[in-house]
Amino acid sequence: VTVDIDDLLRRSGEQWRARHSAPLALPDFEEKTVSAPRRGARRGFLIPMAAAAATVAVIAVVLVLRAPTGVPVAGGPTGTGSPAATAPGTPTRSDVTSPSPLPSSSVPTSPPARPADCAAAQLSGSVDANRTGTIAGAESVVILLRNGGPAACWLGGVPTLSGQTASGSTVPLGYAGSADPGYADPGPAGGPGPVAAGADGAIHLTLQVNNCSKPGTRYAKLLIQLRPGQVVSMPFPAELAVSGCPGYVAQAGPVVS
Amino acid sequence: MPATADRARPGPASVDAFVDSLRPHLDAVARVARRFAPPSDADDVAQEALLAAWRYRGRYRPDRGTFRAWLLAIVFTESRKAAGRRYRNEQLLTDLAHGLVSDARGDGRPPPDHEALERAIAALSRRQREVVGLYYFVDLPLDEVAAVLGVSPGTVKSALSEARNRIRHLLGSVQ
Repeated sequence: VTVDIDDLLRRSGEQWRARHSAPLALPDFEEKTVSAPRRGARRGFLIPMAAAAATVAVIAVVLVLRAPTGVPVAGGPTGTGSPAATAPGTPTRSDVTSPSPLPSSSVPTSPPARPADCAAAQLSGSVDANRTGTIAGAESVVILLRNGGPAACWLGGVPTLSGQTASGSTVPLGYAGSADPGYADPGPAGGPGPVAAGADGAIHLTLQVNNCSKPGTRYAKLLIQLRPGQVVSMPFPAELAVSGCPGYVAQAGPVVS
Repeated sequence: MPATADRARPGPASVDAFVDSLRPHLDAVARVARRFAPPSDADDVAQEALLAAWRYRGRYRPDRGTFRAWLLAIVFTESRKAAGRRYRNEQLLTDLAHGLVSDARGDGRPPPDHEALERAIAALSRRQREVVGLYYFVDLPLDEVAAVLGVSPGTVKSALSEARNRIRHLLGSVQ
């Protein structure tokens, strides 16, 4: 059967819009601008506001510590006002779509300490059953990498995957790796970052099930090479044997909770 | 310095003016939220996004795009964040099932084509799902899809083409 996908999408879009045409109620702008944010907003704004407050506090401490005795601190009570100062009532939180950087010209910047890269020996792999399943013929598999080490470690990069037979020989599985989230959805991984001790990192991969005539192979072990010489070994997930048509593997990273 | 103040806050200054500027775009705002936020929270997310737009109206720059694109970008960003929280806290498959169930309300059953198509869309990459959702379901023109996503119209065209090819493949049809 020949189907015009563009036409199918247009018709489906029209039907969807017809089902979701209820008017949207406007919020009370007057009330919300003076009262506490709604419950949902409070959850969403709490973390960035706390982070901004902590950043400002750190900057203030650094300025005070570095200022010579007797010299007024920029923006302090005896200052004449910084050009970056905001008028009363002006929002200080970063823009939703284009965060503005904090003034840093007078502040020595030191990037936060990055923990050492995760060593394969400190990671244990398992399948996240809650986030694994088949949708429209594509198997979506999330592999969790738990940091069993005593400290946080850095997880990132696109891994390469191999199967290992019972006799010990290895076979590349052929997943196309991509760090572009537009083409290889990282799933629950939030991009490269630190994985706390006892916490999980994740790798998301897909394989095609429909329209795949190649049978999958159930290897004894799955080998996840994070970088040269660092290979995590885990029992081969049954989910990776449902077909012989591997798809994408995305960049590893800590699970964002 | 009035001139500086005007540049710093070019958006509508009063609530009434802001609401007037919103009204022509409310349908699109609702559709973006209902397409990309969790179904049970979509209208709340849309309202929170409108409040965020009101708070940060001073950040809007007419020389960088239309008010509509700026507004929809905020709604889209907030919707995606809400969906991300839900994705991480619950189960993607459960959400998809709820979405299909909620779509089925009203006429009893979802159209078969629609259900299969939604499942195929769910299997696309995130970027492909976003362009398909904004272009076909929210019904934005190509240049507005590009403005909301912060990419070029060519990138949108390319992603749409890839998405159609993949949907065709997933549905098992041959043109």
